[in-house]
Amino acid sequence: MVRATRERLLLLLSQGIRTNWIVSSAKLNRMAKEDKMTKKLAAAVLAMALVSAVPCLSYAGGIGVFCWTLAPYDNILCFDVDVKGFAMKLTGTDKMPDTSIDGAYGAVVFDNTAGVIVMDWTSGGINYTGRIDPITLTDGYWLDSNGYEGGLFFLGSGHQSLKSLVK
Amino acid sequence: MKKLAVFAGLLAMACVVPSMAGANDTVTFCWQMQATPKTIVCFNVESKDFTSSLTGFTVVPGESNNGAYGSAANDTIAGNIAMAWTSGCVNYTARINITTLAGNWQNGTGDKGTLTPVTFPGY
Repeated sequence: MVRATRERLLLLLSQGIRTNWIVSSAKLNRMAKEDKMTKKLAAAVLAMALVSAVPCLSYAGGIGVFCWTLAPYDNILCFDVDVKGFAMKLTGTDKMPDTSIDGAYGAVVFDNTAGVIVMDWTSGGINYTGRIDPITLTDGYWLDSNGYEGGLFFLGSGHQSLKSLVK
Repeated sequence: MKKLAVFAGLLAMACVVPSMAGANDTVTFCWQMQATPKTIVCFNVESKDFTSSLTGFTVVPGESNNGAYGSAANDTIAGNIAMAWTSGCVNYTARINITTLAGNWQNGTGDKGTLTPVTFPGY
């Protein structure tokens, strides 16, 4: 099953950037459950999708749920990611440790100059901006409109990553 | 010019014919934010029931960019389009002419200027 999924992903990647969008959120969810390798592949698909989002796309739709933790505060940030032409729309939640969950919304684009994925979002009335590696979707940083900053660490995609929201 | 018509049409539809606006038509449009002469803001504009969703970026060509997200609505009282978006941790508002799509912007840090529709290569 894992091998078949991997081969399917590699086939999609080899067919060109447009076909990356064929991978549905349901498939990403299933892949994330299988093993760490498929989790990395799912991340690679998103990274390829984000990189290929410039300058334009012929497809618009959701590609699944992706989560990060905001170190050092342990907030868990999860977004439904929807392709909107050359950019992606983020709709999700920002869960504060042991307190509450705020709605979160924003946009993500690929920064050609710096070669990083740029995420901008708002939650709890605070604006954030983040930079993450396009391949690993982690090793990034965030800062907010109040001057706080920290690291962004990718938790995974699909329902597997959403488990981090459950205590 | 065709884009101008489409953009204005989408916003008009969102107000007049909500059911048609639900079709989620999209169009891309870019503006130059003057007073910060090199900054370009580009949005994918998606029609909703009575407003439009904005998803895109702001960029100084050749330099790093930021994601941008917000909404636009047809202000039938004032007779223009009201836009609000956030980018790089800063909140922006703008009013643009429904025909020319040119107008004025200001942000939460006190900066302001004009918005001029432009063609941004690749978008």
